[in-house]
Amino acid sequence: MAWRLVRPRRRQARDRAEEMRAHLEEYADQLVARGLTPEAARREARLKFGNPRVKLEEVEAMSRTAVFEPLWRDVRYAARGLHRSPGFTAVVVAVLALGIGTATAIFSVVDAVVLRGLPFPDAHRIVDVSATRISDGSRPTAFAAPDALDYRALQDVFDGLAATAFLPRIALQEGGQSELLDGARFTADLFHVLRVRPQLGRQFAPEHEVNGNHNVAVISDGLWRRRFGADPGIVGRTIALDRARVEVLGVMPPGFDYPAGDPVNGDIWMPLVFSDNEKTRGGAIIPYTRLAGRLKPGVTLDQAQARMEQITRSLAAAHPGWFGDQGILVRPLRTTVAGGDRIRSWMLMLLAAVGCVLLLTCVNVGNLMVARATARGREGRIRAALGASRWQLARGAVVEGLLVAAIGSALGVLMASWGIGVLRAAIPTTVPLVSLAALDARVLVIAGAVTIVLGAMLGALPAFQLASRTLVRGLRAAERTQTPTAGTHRTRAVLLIAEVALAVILLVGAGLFASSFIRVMSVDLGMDYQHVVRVNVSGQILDPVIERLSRIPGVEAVGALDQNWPFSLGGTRYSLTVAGRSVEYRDRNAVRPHWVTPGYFPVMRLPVLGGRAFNAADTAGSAPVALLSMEAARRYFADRDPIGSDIEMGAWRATVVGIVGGMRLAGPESDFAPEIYFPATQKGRPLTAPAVLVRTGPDPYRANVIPHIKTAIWSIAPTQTLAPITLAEQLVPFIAPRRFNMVILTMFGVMGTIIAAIGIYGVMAFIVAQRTQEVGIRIALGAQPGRVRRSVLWSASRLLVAGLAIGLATAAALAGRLEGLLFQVEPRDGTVYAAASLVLLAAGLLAAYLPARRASRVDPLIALRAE
Amino acid sequence: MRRRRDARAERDLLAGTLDMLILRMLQAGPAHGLQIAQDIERRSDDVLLVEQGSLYPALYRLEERGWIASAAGVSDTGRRARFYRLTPKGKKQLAAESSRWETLTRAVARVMRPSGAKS
Repeated sequence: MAWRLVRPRRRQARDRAEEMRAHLEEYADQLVARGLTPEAARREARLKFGNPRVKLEEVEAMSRTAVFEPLWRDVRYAARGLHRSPGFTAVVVAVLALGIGTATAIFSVVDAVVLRGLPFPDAHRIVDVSATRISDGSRPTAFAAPDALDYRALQDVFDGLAATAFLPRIALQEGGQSELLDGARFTADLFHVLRVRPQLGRQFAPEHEVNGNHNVAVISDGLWRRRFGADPGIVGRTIALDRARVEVLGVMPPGFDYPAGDPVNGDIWMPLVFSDNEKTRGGAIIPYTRLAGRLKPGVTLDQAQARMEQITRSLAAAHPGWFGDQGILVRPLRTTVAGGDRIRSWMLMLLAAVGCVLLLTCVNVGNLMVARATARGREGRIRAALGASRWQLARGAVVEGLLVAAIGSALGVLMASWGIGVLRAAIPTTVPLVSLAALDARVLVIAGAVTIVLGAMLGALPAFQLASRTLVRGLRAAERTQTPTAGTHRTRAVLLIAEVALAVILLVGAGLFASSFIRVMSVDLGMDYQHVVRVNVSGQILDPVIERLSRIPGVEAVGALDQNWPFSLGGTRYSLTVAGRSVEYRDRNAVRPHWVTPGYFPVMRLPVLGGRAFNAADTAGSAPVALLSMEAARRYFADRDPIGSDIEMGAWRATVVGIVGGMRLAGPESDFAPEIYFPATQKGRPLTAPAVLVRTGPDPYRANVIPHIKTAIWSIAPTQTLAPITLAEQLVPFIAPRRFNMVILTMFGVMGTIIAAIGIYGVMAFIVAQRTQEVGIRIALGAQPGRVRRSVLWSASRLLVAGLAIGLATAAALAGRLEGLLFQVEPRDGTVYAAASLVLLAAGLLAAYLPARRASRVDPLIALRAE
Repeated sequence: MRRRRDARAERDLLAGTLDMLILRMLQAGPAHGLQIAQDIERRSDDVLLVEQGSLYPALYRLEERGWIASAAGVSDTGRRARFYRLTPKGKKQLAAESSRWETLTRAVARVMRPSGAKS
């Protein structure tokens, strides 16, 4: 398009030049005819005509289609200008690249996690259907199997409503290598709901949802490539999973995962089959089923919600006593994977913070550009005197801004492509969809748009100045290279105040998240998780394994417990009767029972607060006993002594013999939940999913205990799949979001402070340089150097204080939004605000001190000679 | 700010006047750039000395506005030249400009008449 516009214009310009030349020649001929020599005639004609080139340019400038060439000229001019001052260009481009790079990387993550949809066709029509309980704070939870089946049969608002369930980690035994796989179980209609099919082979079907036919699976593209060399022959092959043989029906396309956006990448998906027991209401059914559906065309979310509530009411009427306060919630599937509002507001906070950094970067660069425009004021005036219009000068400045922004953002995008990888690794694994973060077209388009806006803004600042300066005033002062005007000062002061304000906002944020992290880390967990290794083995070999592990040198204590391991999410609750009161499993006061070996308490360093702990005398034959955690004793017995009371769980009946300390099983931010302990020896059968906990004296990795643990267990059970992990590692996901926030916001805060300090230094150095003569005269007249220094520092402090006041007020106004993201820190914590102010004040004064010192050392003779 | 507007108004006045003069010269018939410039000088008894080069930006502007049209031709001395002529739209414009000019000059003349001056 540009070509077609330029081409005829070129010809037109040639024609016009030709026309003017002909005019000159014709006129010269006339003059010769009147008796002038040809040479004199040419000179006279030329004199009368004016400069044809200037006229041509004038014509070009006024021509409406003349957009491209002058723009190109401006770009070349701007490039030359930037090339002439490489120092300035390098600083500006580096600062911009840093700002844009950080912002782009963070944005691409936020975009993937919060803003973009799930990777399914028409993903916004896919919903999650969950049970809610008013007594449980109406949190969405799983359904019991019979309820899920009834909803599936009765609903008429979804084009498919699939039941899904967690798949316990399963060991793939192939080629002599054992690997633990994650995945899910679901009914075959989920393929229809998600509109996804295997890339290879076929998916499972309703006929596989029958006990006996259920040993089939589809696997991930990743697993297919990793373990089976992308062999198409995998379809129909039988693989060994735990002890079962499972037929692989198909391979899902790359990028498929379910539960969607789960931080753990799934590798295997199998049909969901309910046992007959589970299908009838009554007894202790553990709810674990989730529902996912696709809204029928024309059905809205509200309509679906209303219909499902209606079905719930009729089901509740049909099964009195079963539903209780159970309700139902239909919500977009998207909201379930984003980890709810918490991650959403967290991500938006990150975006706001990085926006702050970007803005700060721009203000700083803007400040530099204004300084440069001031320093180059003389050049502008000369151009103006030569006939450049204000519009031309302003356009030049804007083009320069755009050019700088374009180079900066090109480098920034390069930085971001590297930064996204770093962020993906640094962001806690509890954040869903992070793996989808990428520098895709969408991110690039937005980065490009931001760049253009930024560049125009950067250019507009000096352009505005150029335009408002009158030629005459400029020329009068032309002999000095730098001519400060009140306007320049004001612009720069305003920009500086903005920088300080933005920096203090970032610092306050950093302070709030850092103190949240410190408080999380200093929470008393009730036990000592340091130097403890957890390894899961099968229940049958538990006793020999414990015995064998205790003999490893460096091992202090070994214990085991069944289910509900420390720092693992979920856990099973049971109904029980305690102190004559029955506590339902779904009650908030429900208890999590643990079957433990006597070694468990020393390993976890749980104190025995009353009565006795388990010992070797508690055997299958002796009287059943139980221990309560302090929280359980408090909840069920208030201030009565629980020792000696009975506890019933189903048919099991035990006597409380002691009280042990509580612990925060689900990490520092969880409460002390009521716990109840039974001796493993009295269970009557091997533990279902026991975890062996080993306390090693020194750090288990450094002391190399873990390999010893593995070989010890393999000497008993050679085929056992082992995945030892320290409790400290298990704690990581619980504190990782806080650590991440602290690190990234501290980084932003430090960046902000440095940028603001650079800004202050720049402005103060500039002012001092301008006032050299004044200072020289003052010193010559007897002013004390200290006084001069103080006056520079004083003008810096005024700007700093103004920026601090605005920044602190803004931070206080915004901080309320952070409430849900902080831990035991008030959003308006005075200490944090004071500390942030002090840091910035110190950095700012330090930055101002250097030019101030220079000012006080001005030699009056040299200063005055410079005049 | 004020200064800027004044300057522009001043330029516009001059430009407008030159446009009007060109249109007036073309009323007599098609002419090329040099002829137009010389006509203006001659008819103003050499009072209005046009910088000949300045004529062209004005000519192209007028052409773009559709008030004049141009065609290639040959000058008296046999050189290729572009001849401009008035379009109907240009004629209307010239009429409007002339009457405005008339009003203006008459008004200025009245103001400048010495008899009404106080001092």
